[in-house]
Amino acid sequence: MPIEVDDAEILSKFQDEKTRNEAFNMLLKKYQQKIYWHIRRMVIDHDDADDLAQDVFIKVWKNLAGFRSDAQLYTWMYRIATNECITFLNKKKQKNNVSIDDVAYELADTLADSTYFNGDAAQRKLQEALLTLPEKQRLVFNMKYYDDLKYEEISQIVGTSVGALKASFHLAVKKIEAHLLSRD
Amino acid sequence: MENKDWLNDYMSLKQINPANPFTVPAGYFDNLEARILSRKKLEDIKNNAPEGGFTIPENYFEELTNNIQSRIAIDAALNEDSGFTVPEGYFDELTNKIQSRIAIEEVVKEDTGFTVPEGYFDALTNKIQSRIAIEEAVKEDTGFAVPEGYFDELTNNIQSRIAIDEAINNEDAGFAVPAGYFDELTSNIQSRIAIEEAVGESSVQFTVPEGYFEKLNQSILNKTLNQENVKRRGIVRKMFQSTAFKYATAACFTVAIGGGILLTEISNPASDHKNSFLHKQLSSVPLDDIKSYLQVNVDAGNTQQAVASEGTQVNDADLKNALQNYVDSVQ
Repeated sequence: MPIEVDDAEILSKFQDEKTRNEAFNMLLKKYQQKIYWHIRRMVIDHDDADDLAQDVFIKVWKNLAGFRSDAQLYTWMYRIATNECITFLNKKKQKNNVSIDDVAYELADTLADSTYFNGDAAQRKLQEALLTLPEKQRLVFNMKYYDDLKYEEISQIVGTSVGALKASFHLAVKKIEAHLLSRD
Repeated sequence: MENKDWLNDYMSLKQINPANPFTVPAGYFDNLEARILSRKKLEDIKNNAPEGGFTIPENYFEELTNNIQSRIAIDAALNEDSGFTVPEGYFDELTNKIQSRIAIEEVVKEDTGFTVPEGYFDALTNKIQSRIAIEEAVKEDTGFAVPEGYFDELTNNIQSRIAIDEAINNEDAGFAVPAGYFDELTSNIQSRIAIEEAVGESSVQFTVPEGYFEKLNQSILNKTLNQENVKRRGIVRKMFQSTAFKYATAACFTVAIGGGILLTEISNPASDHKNSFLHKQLSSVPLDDIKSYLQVNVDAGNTQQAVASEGTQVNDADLKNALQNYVDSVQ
């Protein structure tokens, strides 16, 4: 069970060079799994998620000294992770010169072939349904459904208003519902 | 935690287990922190030494743009159909060649105790290429050939010839030839050849004694340059090989033999009789007639006694006349 350390303490220690490494270690222990799973649900593949997670924490290390406390530490880190995922998926599209739909099909194949997925049939269907959604809708659904984040927090992460997020979320749920019912 | 009452509106979704269906390798999160910290250290090293400890020459990047542009211009010029070309890989090898040349010249400059003629290395390339061209020409089947080892001995032959010419031109050599000797030598040799050919062609009509021409030069020399030596040594004639002597000898023998035979014939009575008149007359009479005459007309005993008893000396002339008269009567 990860150690729950106050974000203020982490930030305070990080400001001191003598305790900076200790603060970063504390940060890692507190947020590494959350950041990892957030990335994993987006890119599906474990190895891709591992690479991106490390990249995110390196960026956190580099930029934490300039972090302004006008936002929550974890929302700031979620934003970094979200941007890394979107950048990764866009590169995937450009590399293969395919549309977002084709990327979704590739992720679905990865899900089908993945050895690190032990969900039941329903959960697999749900993931397949999520892959049919646009990237931002999928992000919102994941943070709402799996992470239980508030719309305000999601709004800080993705940079979209709360109202738009609500509409986007409900639209996503309907699509998923329809997808689940059509498969039955 | 956010309220999930909204799921009540979506029963199919609500029925799905909300637990995380994704898994990770065993112990993944246990070492994730360590891996991220290692990655962090690498980032720190990179931040402190962006070049990773590597350095570059001063003003490298300032000159890099010009270098690249120059290289581009050169490549563009090479690719253009300017009519000029360079061998393949020329520029790639040019650097090594220049460096090798520099190293060679540095070695030459060093006081190693060995020296080379001035301009030796400058001419060396051309010499080697000329030698290669010559050897390739020799190897080619051009229809021309040289004796084996010809080129290997050519240098020595040329040097020997040079030494000979120098010796010839040297007035203090102690040897001399008549004026114009070499100029006339060719014509003299050709004349000699023509004479020998003429002699050979006319061999059917004219002949010379065996070994004549071999002795001719010596005889001429004996009469000219070696005249004094000949006189001092004395004249030695080989009598038995002289032709005149042979004829004289033969004549003497003939006379001697003929005279001997003649004298022998004169002193021999038988030979006298053979040469007499009676023999000549009787030689034509058949022998049977002579025998029959003698049996009829002559008594052998009587004849002897008659002649012997009377002691008459018979005159040959009278006897001849008597016999002639008989023969005439018989005929």
